[in-house]
Amino acid sequence: MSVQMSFRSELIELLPSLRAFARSLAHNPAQADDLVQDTLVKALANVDRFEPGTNLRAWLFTILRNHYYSQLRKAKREVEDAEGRLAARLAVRPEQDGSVDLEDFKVAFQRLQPDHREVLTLVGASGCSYEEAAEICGCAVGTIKSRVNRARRKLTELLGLDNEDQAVFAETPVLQDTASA
Amino acid sequence: METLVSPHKPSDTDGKAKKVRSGASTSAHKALIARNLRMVYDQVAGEPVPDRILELLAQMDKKTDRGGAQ
Repeated sequence: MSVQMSFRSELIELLPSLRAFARSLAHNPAQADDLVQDTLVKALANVDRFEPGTNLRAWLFTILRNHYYSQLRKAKREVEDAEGRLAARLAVRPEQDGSVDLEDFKVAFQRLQPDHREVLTLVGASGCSYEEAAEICGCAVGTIKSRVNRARRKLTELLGLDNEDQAVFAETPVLQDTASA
Repeated sequence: METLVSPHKPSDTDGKAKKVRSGASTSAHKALIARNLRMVYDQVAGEPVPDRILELLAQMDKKTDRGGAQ
């Protein structure tokens, strides 16, 4: 029983980050919490498949994102909507001092494709290592790294931050795929 | 007076200055994205967990207790 108790308390501790991860995938807070609820139901139904002492956060994040993508596949229309919105250029204005309003940032972020939102949140905000992110997404570490770069470039573009550079550096490619931190 | 305000203002017409600025703005964009990502994430993670989620957990505990050895 004590294993289950510690599982449960660890689960409760992880709820805030699980919600934050869900919010980066779902398009609204209610859908995000639905995802969290479904994840909890699945996690508790499969609790015997979890090896105590291994990474519970990665396990929960994996359940959540797999569930999200299976729902997304079912709702194809939603994908088309997202693509349509991505195709439409953003109305977010670049700020001259290089900062952006947090709400503008959220709007731009939601216009990213799901796997880009996912990888930026995992690596850029949740504190996951590239290795953990690869485990969660079920792909190679190298894939995560290049996806992060592409996602960051896309987000820079959606935020309109590349516009001022493009004006000045019209002849040079903007935001090359450099690994400089 | 003007020189006192900005004595080392980089020239916009200088090619080298442009290159430096390009690299600097790329890493500035990275930093900006990182900062905002964390802000958004921490904002949600800092919210109290909604009752409906805690209630679900409590319900599932009851089920487990009925089915378990307790």
